[in-house]
Amino acid sequence: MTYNPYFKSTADDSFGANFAVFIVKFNNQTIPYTQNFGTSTAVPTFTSTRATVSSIETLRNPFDESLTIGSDGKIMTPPGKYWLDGRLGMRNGTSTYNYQIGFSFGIGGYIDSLSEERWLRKQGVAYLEETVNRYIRKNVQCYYEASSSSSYVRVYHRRAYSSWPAGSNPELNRDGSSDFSTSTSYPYGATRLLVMRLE
Amino acid sequence: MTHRPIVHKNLKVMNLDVVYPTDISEYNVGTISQYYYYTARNFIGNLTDYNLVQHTRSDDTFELPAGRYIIRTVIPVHEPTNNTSFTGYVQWQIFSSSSLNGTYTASGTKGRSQPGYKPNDTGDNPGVHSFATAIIESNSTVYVQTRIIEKTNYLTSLSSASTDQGQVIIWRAD
Repeated sequence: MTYNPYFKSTADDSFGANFAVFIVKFNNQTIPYTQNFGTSTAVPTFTSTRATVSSIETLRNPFDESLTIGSDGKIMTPPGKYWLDGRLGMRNGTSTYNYQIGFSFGIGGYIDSLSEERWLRKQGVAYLEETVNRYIRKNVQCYYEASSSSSYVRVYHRRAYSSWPAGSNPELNRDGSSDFSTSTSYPYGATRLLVMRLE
Repeated sequence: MTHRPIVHKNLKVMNLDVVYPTDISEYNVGTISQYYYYTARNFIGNLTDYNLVQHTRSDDTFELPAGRYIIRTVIPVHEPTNNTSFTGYVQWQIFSSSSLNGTYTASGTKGRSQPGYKPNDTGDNPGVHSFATAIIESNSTVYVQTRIIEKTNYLTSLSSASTDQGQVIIWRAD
């Protein structure tokens, strides 16, 4: 069928493109120091780098199946095509020495044809929503195709420096209300994974 | 009434990487970014009916069929050596044309990167973000590029720091 950009929907197909939207939420966790962040293809083997899931919120799901929480931070994905958008929200430390340091952040996915989990995308992310040092963004975005009941995706994080001049330890999803004397629980922003099922 | 069968519509998306510049001249105004598929990504997306073609350099232009697209690009910009007073920055924007060698028109928000040791908002302007986004709608084949539109005080030679931040994301809403 030739695609017609000016095609107007009728009552029969007025629902627009079919897609589902989920928001995956994560637990409070220390962002660990590890010597490596996997390889260019393989995800890290350190379990401390796995972001563990607290809950999954369904915003819209016209499909029959849903995401489920697996073990060790796995987000089980029914067979289908997905767009993933992860945001790393963290408390960096206790001092103002916070502009320089970035984090490693990435999303892995189980590849059936390889029978193993591989990177879908990884990159450095900044603490501040500002261009500093070499890091620009706080998000990792990628595409994934789940092909079996064992398909899953998983979010990884770490810091690349063993010492931490910003003080204390960086953490995911720390309740920062006392740090800021504010009623806002997460002034640092929360770590979230947006999952869109496209087909 | 004429019967019109139900059309199953899906969102289509694809993403590729932006080639990391190896020479500072690649940040000169007018330079067109090149795209590539980093095989370790494993997947590109479900938007498949596009071509990567050459305008001035290999794989620097998307040839997309008629449709409505949202396009977003981040250009990787090298950091200078730790320099607290560094205020140089690079800006880019999305351009489109109805023919490969035709006249390209800029649209959408500008992307900007100011790699430096400390946050510094010198050069901030309305409509400038860390990525460039544009909506392109065409009833015929359309050609899309990302071009450098400004380079200010960005005079240092490139450091060897390697990052993989460059990315282009294209959505089509059927």
